[in-house]
Amino acid sequence: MKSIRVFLTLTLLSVTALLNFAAALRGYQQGMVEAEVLFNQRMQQHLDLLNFSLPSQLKTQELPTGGESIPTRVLASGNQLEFQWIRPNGELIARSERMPASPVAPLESGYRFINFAGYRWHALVERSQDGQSWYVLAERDDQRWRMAESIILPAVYPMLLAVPVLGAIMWWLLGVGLKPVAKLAADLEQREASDLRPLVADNIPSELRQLTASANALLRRLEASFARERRFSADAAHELRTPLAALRIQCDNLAFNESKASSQVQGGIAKLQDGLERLGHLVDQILILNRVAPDQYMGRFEPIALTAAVRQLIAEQSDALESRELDIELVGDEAHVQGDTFAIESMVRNLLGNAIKYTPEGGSIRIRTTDTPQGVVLDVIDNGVGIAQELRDRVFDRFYRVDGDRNDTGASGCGLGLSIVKQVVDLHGAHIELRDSEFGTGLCVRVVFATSESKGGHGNE
Amino acid sequence: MRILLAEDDPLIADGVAEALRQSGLVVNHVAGGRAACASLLADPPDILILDLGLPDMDGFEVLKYSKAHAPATQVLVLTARDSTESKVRGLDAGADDYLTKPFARAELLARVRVLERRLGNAASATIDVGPLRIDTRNQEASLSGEPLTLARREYMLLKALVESAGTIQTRESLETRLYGWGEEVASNSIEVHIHHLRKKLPNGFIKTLRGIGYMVPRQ
Repeated sequence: MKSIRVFLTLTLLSVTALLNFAAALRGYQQGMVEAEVLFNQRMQQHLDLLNFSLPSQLKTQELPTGGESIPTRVLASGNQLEFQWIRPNGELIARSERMPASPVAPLESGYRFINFAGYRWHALVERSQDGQSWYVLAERDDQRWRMAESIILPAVYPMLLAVPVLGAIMWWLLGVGLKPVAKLAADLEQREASDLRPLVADNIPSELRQLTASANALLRRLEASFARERRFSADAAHELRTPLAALRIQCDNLAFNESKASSQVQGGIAKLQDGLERLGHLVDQILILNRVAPDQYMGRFEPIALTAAVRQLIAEQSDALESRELDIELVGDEAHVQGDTFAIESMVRNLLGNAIKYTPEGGSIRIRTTDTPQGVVLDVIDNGVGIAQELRDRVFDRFYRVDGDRNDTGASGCGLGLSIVKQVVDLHGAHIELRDSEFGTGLCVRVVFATSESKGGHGNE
Repeated sequence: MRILLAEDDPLIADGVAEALRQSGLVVNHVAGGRAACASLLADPPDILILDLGLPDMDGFEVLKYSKAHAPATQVLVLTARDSTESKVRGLDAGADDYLTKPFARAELLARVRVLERRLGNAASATIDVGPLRIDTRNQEASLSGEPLTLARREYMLLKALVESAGTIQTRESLETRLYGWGEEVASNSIEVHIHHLRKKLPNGFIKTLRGIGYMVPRQ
């Protein structure tokens, strides 16, 4: 069942139409039976009239025998009644114009059907009051039906014509009646994925109260579990970073204090610092990955000045850019997107970090933000080692690193960067593509934020 | 320069205190929020290094207390939580700077030095980058000992660039440094000031990063 409204309208209308039709049919049949009685009565009345006037005329010999000239119009009104006046021996005393010269029916009292002149007739045969003659009154069956129908059908038609009108009224009434359901649906539909406030429960019809209550209970449970999840993430971040911070500062102090120690000791300390750095990075990346997971996302989308954010994030990387003597530029339009600031920043930071990591010293990085009618396009282009065509699908896998743990660029990482990027892209209903770099070598990562599409952020991993 | 360190993790506190003492600073360590408040009230330090995750009191409460009872104290907030939200909240609540754990010793000392300079400490009132010296107390600049004549905004711009030598300064961040909130900023005003500054400085002293901003490289 696609729609309650359509279903109810169609079924109610069908039932109504069927009942209406049955009623109309019954009315028609009943009406025809009534009409039959009525017409028969009319025949009887006419016959009584004849019976009252004709025998006396016969006595006074006012009628010429053969009676061809007896006016028949007296008896005709709309449809014609034909008659024969017959002696018991079968000789006609008189007849109406269209009657044949011989008796059309056997001389027995009563109603019957007869056939002559190519039609079917209702006939009434009766003996006159003095018993000296017979009357035969006949009426054409088709004319009788037509007459009856012209009376009955106007009463039946409105019933049938009412069906479409009734349908329209039902459609409208059901729309009004189902408005609370539509409102509830719109209420849920318009919600951001992160909006877990209970549904408004007052002023709703009793049928929906149970549904609303159940939905609210579900929302409460969801919110509680999300809150637990958030607290866990925050606690995990705290619990992981505190010992790391202690190790880091102690190690840095050690390096400072041992600045005159043997190169072996200094080398060991440097490796320790490097390891701690990587561990810190890994913890950060795992926490970010957890936070930007589309099914975990609890934030709220807001307008973000993408180009300005990119500019700021480039500035954050000043040290790395300087030490590797990379040439970086930001070109294109001042673009804006709808999104989550933390997620977008994490994505750009990772893309930028990759470009810096995989571009050789003295290389070039170009970042372009373009505002097109189809949406905002972010390109991060480098002239580094690039990624082979056949590996481009795999790099979004978690912990996947091209060429294993260390590739020929000597860059190290934890292999979560592009997974984070992919999740942020999914979260924003955006699209990511790895292309050939316009520098000739290297990689271009293109992220397209489609305009006004999938703002809710229900991307799939 | 006296520093109050409020940090409950003994290993971090020990390391931070050692690093600061080695740079000639006097460090007083407390492990809880209440002790920090008491210390702030009794003897306001120059700089408070505050861990937001103290066991007995919400870090933001300590921050508010510090701003209320020791307004001259500069506050550097440490936190293990990375959400931008709590960062913004911390800065809104009056934190002067912000450091996420884990941090490098050099980063910590650099941040403390910036706060020191803000306090107008005599020892750090001048900034030297190559041949350029900026005297932040008298708002003067000199090149190889020769005084430079700078308009007010040119001086502010140069100071902003030199203070963070080696770090790219975006157009937006320079604009906020140079102009008050709601002040009309011509779209090319930074470019114009840079153009004037360049005429008075050695070639290549200020580097342009297309579409991003400017930088004075470390020398």
